[in-house]
Amino acid sequence: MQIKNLIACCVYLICHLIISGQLGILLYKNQTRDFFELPLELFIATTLRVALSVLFLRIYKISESYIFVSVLLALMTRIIFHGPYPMAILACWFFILKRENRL
Amino acid sequence: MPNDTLWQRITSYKLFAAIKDSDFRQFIFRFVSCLIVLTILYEWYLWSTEQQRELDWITYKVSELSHALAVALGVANCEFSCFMEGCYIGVEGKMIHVLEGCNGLMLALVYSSYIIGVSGWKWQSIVQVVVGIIVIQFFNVLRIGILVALRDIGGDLYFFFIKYVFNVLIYISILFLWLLKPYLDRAMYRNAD
Repeated sequence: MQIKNLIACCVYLICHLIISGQLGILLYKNQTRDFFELPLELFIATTLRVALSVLFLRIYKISESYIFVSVLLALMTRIIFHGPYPMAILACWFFILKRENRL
Repeated sequence: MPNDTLWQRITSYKLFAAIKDSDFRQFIFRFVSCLIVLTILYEWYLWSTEQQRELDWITYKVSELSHALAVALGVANCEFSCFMEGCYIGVEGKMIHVLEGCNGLMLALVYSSYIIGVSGWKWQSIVQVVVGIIVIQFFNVLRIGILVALRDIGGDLYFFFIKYVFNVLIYISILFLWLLKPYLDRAMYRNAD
């Protein structure tokens, strides 16, 4: 794995965690653990996280169609299975780059 | 296109063109199917422990080992108590609440889904899944143990570590496990031959 890819991964994860962290702070301030009590904030944070993942994949010149399916998979992982969103994005990113020998 | 099937119509849209790529399609299908199977098993396991009015064994063990690590790191008077909703570890007044969501298993399930997504349901994949889950749990115990110690020290360092450093570390460790996959595959196939 090239160092630049590792750094790109870290930057993506940190940006994602900053957005999630801000949402976490808002939940803490409102003394709740339920995201749906802050629907507007949840919508903004989700939009930002999706946009960030699209940007991350786009930087690697991955085509729109693959990005669309990757984001769908990541949203499904998060919403249906309560899994980590960035991990699913990284799984697709890793799979695509690995088979193109770009990792 | 009167003779086109629904599938052909879907894949003819530009956004769904990736589905025409059979490798990628297989990967996504296996990834999702593995996630479904493992999530059902995990939810069933959680449901059965809830019926017995107990905390699940994995969260308990992760908390117990984290407590042992915190003690080894020199946290004096480190207490440990578990209830149905989770465990409390740390010094009185600065305790960390370890919930079911902190046991690292959801992360392990996504890691496993990638392994199965790439190679399918083979014994080599299962071995890698088991080894990977142990490695992820090792990092998770390390994370919670150090957090207990940081909480004891006090200051903003705790929040910085809990929010960024440990999350990035655990994700990167999974990337390295994925990187090791072809080498492990080669070694295991050679042994099998």
